[in-house]
Amino acid sequence: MTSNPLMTLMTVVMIIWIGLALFLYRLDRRVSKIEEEMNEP
Amino acid sequence: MNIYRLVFIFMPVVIYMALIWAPPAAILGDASRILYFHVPVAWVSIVAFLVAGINSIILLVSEKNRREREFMAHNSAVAGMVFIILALITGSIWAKLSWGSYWNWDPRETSIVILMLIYIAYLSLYSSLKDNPNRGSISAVYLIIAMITMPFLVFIIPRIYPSLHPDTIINQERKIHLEAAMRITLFASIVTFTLLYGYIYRLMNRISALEIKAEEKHYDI
Repeated sequence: MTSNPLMTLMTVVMIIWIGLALFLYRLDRRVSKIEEEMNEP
Repeated sequence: MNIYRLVFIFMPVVIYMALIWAPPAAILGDASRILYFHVPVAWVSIVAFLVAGINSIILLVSEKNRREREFMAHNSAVAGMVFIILALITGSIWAKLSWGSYWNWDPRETSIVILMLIYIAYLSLYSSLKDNPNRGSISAVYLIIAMITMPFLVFIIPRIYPSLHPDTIINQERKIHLEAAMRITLFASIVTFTLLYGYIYRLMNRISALEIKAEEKHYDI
């Protein structure tokens, strides 16, 4: 991809973080949805 | 707005700073970049154990929301456990690179393992008291005692015995032995990992609150 191994490493770590961030955000949204449902009478 | 969501913006910036922007250290070279991940996770584990202890004190002192406090203390101890395992793994990799072996029984390594064992004992105590009505109070007392041992195991023992572990942040000269760019990156990383802990901890507490609500609703029916 590139001659600098640190650049490759950064790309890999960045992809892992994006995956984890999306997972965390989706989890957050799901919890918010359940909270709304639970608060309904 | 949830402040902890800033972690989504900060983390990519910190990854860039740690791996590209910050210069490599003089002797260790690029291996020194572990610093920007190892120190923040170790810091977060200490913060998490402190939060668990403080919640336990509040649980014992105050009469309100005891069940929520119990979960808050427990969730923080669990999060701290995850981060301390990460600190141990990253530290072990770093030890291999700079000292030549994954495990040396250095005072720093040994004291962190003892701290981890104390919190493993807490987790088994907590799960064994599942049907005990005094579960919250008993585990809160244990968490407070565990919190009191922490400064000795983290800050005092590694400084009494000769250790290979560097004291770049807290040392006798009261100066940080790091270049400006490295220092900025380290502090940015510490802030970001603290935000990550806050985000996960808040999520855990919300799920616990939902569990309590679901239980109450179940009993109402």
